[in-house]
Amino acid sequence: MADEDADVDRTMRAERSVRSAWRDLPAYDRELLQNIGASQWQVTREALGGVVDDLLRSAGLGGLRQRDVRSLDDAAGVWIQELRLVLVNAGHHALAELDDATYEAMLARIAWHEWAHALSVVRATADDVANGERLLDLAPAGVANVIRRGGYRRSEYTHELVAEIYALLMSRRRRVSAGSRVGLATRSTIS
Amino acid sequence: MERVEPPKGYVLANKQTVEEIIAVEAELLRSEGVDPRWPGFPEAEEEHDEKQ
Repeated sequence: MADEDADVDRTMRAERSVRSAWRDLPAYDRELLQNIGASQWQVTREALGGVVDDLLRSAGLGGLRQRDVRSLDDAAGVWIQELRLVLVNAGHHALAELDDATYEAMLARIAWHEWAHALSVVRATADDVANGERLLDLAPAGVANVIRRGGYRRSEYTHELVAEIYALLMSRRRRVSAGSRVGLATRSTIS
Repeated sequence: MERVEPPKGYVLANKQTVEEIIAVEAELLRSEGVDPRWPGFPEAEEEHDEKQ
């Protein structure tokens, strides 16, 4: 029972975090997402492979191969272009032991990353995609390493890099914004 | 009907991946003179929910 209560509490926290992350987006990005029909999200506690598979089948768009379901189960968030929907797995195992503030920061980061995909995927040119490896070489080493170890195809490097940089900029913006209003916050340390 | 190129998603292999992401972010923020501590979000003044 205590575990169930904790799950409910975490899910509510995750929903608040994603909603706050949405409100924190620059107004012009939020409006663009609304204008292209990409402003909807869903927070779940289920592995995303099965959720995405069900949603795609329900929409008559065909399901995923089993190996792709398993692969997507490792994801904490995903942008489904065909459904114009961001999905976030609030119960992802890698987030389970985080303190509340770090959990909120990570949920926001995941949402920003996925909205960045929604904003940028259709804008990337063939050259941008082809230059993914080179662009990763130019990125901060830590960012490039996270992407390289994520198991992405080379054709996805550019999209992942753009999404990571966008999430980083949003994360920085949140801190600078808070600092400019109330001085440097002291609520929690995530480092 | 099966999809050829499914979405990959934001992969977090394990807790170590999360720690690495947080550490990279903290290092970049510090390099710009920004305190990496998470300040939280301000309380919402109005409800605007795009949740599905």
